[in-house]
Amino acid sequence: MEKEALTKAMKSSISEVLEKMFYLPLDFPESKNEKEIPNLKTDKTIISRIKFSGPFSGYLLLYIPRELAESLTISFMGIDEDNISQDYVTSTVKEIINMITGNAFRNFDDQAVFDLGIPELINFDDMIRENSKSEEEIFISINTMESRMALQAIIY
Amino acid sequence: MAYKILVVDDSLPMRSVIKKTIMASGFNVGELLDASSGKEALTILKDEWFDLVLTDYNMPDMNGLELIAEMKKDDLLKDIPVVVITTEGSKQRMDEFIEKGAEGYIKKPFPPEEIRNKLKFIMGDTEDGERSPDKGDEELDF
Repeated sequence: MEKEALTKAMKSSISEVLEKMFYLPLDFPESKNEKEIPNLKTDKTIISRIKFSGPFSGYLLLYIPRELAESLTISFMGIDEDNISQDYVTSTVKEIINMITGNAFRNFDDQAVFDLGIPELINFDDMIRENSKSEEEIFISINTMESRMALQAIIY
Repeated sequence: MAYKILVVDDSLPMRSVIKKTIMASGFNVGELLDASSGKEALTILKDEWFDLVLTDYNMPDMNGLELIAEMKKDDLLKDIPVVVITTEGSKQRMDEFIEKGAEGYIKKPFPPEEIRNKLKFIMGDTEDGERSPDKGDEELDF
């Protein structure tokens, strides 16, 4: 697995999905100590996971502040703030990681077949447990206009 | 002709977005229904006729290809064109969609015009009023 190529593919996918489907401008900050998401241990961050298998296997984790997730849900579904539900928000987050993952692997190698699992939400403790199994990882911080999110690939 | 379309996706936001995109696309829609799973889609399809089905690929219990396979077994459903909407994009997977009976596919993320163009093409509602006989053409992968 070419880590640099996969990182590039993931970044392209993040831009394509969030800009094309959510009209969300973003950039990728360069930081030596970037593996840190604000409020990760609280219920203010939603963590979504999708497993994948193919030429290599593992899963992707999306970390997104709840407030940003709600804002993206409103924008994505074209609904009023008053009509937003928890189900809409979690479904939107799952759809985001689903689109980013599939698109990332397409960018990485469109000849390779990767099977994607069904996106799910996990809690902080599960995330720590899963991270401990990783043999290799990629962590991408994402700055939006008013917030910060992250995507992590854990490769077995 | 106003078309009756069924949108199948386990994601409620995505169903909502696809339906709104279709309605805003200018495509001639008479009725637009949705289902949250392949099984629900089959139940709806057995009750009433649809001109077109748009289905997600990656769904729990029954994925888009399994839905197509079930439709192909049913004489009343086998000729309804199905378009697969997918995040997965390998050439092999796209070929598999076509080989197993999909009329076309749309890769997510998609701009609104992609859905409009694909639907117009599939339903033979192109600018020149003709539909290409080769549904698997690579150039149709917007």
